Amino acid sequence: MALEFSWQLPLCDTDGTTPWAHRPEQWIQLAQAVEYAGLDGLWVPGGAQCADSLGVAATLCAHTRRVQLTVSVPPEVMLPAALAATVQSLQSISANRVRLHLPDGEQGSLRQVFGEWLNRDQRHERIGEYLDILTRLLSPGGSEFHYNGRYFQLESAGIARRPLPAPPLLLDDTHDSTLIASHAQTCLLRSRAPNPLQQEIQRLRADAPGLGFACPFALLFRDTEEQAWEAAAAHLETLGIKPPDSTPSLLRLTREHQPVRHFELHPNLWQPRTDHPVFIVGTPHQVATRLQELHGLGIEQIILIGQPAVHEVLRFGEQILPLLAAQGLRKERTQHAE
Amino acid sequence: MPNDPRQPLEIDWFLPTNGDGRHLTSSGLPKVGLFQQGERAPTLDYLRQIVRAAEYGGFDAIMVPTASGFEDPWLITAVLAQEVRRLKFLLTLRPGLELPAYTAHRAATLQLLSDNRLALHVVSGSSRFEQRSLGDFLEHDERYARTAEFLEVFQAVWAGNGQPHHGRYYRSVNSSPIAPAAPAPAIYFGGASEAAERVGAAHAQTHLMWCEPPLLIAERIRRMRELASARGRTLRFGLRLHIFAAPTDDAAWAHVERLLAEIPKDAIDRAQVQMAAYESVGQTRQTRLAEGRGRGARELEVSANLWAGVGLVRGGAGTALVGSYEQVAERIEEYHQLGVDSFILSGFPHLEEAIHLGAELLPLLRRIAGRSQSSSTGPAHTENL
Repeated sequence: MALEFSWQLPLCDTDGTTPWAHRPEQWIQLAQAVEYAGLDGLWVPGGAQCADSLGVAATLCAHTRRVQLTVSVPPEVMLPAALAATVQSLQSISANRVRLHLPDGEQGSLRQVFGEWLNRDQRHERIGEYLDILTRLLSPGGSEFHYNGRYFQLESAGIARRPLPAPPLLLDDTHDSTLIASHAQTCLLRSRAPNPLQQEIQRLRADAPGLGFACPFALLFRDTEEQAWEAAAAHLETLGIKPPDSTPSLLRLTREHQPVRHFELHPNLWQPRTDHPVFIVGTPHQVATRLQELHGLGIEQIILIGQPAVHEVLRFGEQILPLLAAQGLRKERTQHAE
Repeated sequence: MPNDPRQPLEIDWFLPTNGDGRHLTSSGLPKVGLFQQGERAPTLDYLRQIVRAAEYGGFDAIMVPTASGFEDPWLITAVLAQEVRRLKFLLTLRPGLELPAYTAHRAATLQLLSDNRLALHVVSGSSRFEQRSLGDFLEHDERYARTAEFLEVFQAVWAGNGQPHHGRYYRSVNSSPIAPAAPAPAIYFGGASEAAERVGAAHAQTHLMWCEPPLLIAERIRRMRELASARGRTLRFGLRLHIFAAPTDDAAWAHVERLLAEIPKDAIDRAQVQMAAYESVGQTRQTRLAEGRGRGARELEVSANLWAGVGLVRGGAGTALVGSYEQVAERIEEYHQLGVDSFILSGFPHLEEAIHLGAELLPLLRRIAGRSQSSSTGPAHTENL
């Protein structure tokens, strides 16, 4: 199983101050860079602090030809049959490049912004019905059906279903594991160190042996290890985080007393803020080695972010993808495809 | 009530997102599949040509419809807005399938993607069968009550007034702004029932009607103006219709005779049964125009140049203006004088006809409208959508 990479589009206001900081021209430019650099896909995040993922994904269909489009749509905001029809339309427009991520509404502020009626147990029951209906409507060979649930009722659903391949479905690791097992092809893991990731993969595989895994990471790589950690230290300053001086840490002692490495969870994996993805910090070779290790845990899809985005996408394509290809971790494809 | 100063004409085109062709049954619903040849799938490669033809032909906007089996209007608009610079997009949406705050969010995204060329066309329902297949079980009048609340929440969210909303259909804890500031899209509204007229009078900027004879349209405009002015509002009006125009009157009628003759009688009967299920007052009014008339093309001319033949086999807009370019332009100007400022036109096929009518009809319309405009005293408005 090859290791795939999707680049995450910067569609969201992550710090609550600059809504949708980037403009459509920049999204298009980045999407084309991702395709050119030989990555596999684009991750189009969704939610109240982001530009609408479906609209952005449709826009990018016209400017890309090959990359997968993973579209994140909060299932709270529209009826399952409406989402199914929209997703089928996106499959058609994109020539079947869609993957669908339904984020766990318990984790964000969606309900506050878009509106919701239900308590937690009801929401759990609702998402179960939602996924039942959605997956049936997206399976191309399915027949017409009636549905009489507590939250959703449909008559003659699927009558307008089109014979298009069902997009792979991704659910978060915070979703109920039986829901994941019965509906998802891939589970999106929270970014963390290899040990907890491995435990999480084992837990989820107990219910779903064939499940695939995806996980986000941020990239910070330079020609030398020293330069990479200097960049990490500079990033720490922009976050306004000061590493504690006196924490006794074996890692820190072995790392030449660099305080920035206080936040290193595992060699080259660095997490200054627990609400942000883990950074992979180091040289191209170190990054490739770490990606290989993550792949060995069972992760087949890495969602990447990095700044400045176009610059980092091309460096990743030119400096890291060839190393992974040499290890046999990439599907056969020439770099700078097409 | 005098209508002056007359607003400039807004002439829009239609995007056939469930297929297109030369026949009366090629676009729209019900899809009857009568013709094997020359039916065009609504691929991006086809639709983008229509959008370009509409832009170059001088149309102001293009209506993007919605129904089961149509390409998604939000996605299609996001893609096709990249193809052209000036053309606006009149996107059809149905409240009831998604939350109004999300609709506001999507609309704000499209405003950003299209450089503020979005307008919204709000329709409250279709057939009971289609509604229920999507999971919407509200009956007709309740759907309009929900539409009213939907539009209230939509506008509150857009304005970002921060108030919690506790309504009958929607509830949210806050309505703080969810998007960068963008101009709110104009609301076009369709519906001919009493329930629809009340909601339109309260919430729409432009009230849309399928085309009927001038007397009937004048009566509806009068009624809607009363309803709106009772709320201290003013309304614009729009007509949705098909066009069969040719250099001569005879050529245009000969064309629709051919189009009608190729439709078998049983196909007409089947389509009429399907349309009867639409629970739509507007649909009933369209169907009734052809009732009791013969099936010869000229027998279906229900007022000068207005032909009810399309409605025999096609749901929704069932009337067409048929005639020479001059006749069609004069009829449109007559509706304009009654108070209609927006005309959303179709012709089959939509690609060739956008080019054809853009070249032959639109210059004539602009000239005639310009003449009657310069004879009135008011200032011309340039922003009309």
